[in-house]
Amino acid sequence: MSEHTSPIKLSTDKDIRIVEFTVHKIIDETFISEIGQALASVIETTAAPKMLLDFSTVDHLSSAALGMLINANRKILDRNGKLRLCTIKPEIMEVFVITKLNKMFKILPTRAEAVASFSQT
Amino acid sequence: MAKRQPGSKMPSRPKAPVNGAGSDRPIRLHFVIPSDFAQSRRVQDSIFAAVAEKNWPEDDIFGLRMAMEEAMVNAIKHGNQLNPGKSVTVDATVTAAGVEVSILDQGPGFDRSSVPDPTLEENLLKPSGRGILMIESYTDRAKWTEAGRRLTLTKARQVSGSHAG
Repeated sequence: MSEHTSPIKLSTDKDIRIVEFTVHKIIDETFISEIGQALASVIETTAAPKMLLDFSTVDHLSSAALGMLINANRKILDRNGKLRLCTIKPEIMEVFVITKLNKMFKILPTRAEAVASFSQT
Repeated sequence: MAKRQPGSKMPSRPKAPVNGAGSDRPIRLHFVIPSDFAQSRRVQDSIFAAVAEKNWPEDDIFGLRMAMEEAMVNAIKHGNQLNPGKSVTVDATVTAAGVEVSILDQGPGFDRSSVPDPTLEENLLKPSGRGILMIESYTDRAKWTEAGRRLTLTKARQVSGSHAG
């Protein structure tokens, strides 16, 4: 923790806020709450936020990280927004399947498909 | 804090690399740490290093990482309630064939059967309560004893190829 960089990298595609993670592991409790706060500040300053979480860098995540995603999803739905997840590695996808959260989140294989999915209902 | 105990008597060859493919002398590790996530990370890293030394495949190490992370968080957060005055004792035995890890906290304990199933429809939106599911999913056996204060995990290394149908 010597240098402090943002836990997420934000970019925009039209009105979609794309979030990438700057680390491979989302397991550290402090780090998870930092990500949660960073997402919340984006969500809370956007009307009907469209948020895409790109998991391509992530190769490890804990149940606390899943809790953070559930909270972010709830905040987005509260503001009539949409959340999509994409490019999840197979071993991480397994975590979503084990917890049955693959039923709760809209998960797409590629970023292009995820971006396109926002215009579908 | 960490003590590495040789599995049995052996002529002194300090720091000699263990030949994982040859004899399967167990690597035994013992730690007593305060309720601290950074120290927990170091304990886990030592165990994963031992598993890697025994040439475990990445897939199995991934599963062990998932289970260990949740088990240590449970001990520190839910068991010891983050109290730095309370300790977590970890014992691990690692061989090429399998690993057994015992994690003992100083909390009030808990009853496994009283923990709700997080995969039920009504619990899917809850932000917590998935740690035990992860522990049980990524190990062969997870057993709580001493009123729930001690968790013993066992995981066998997957045998690939040989007798697969």
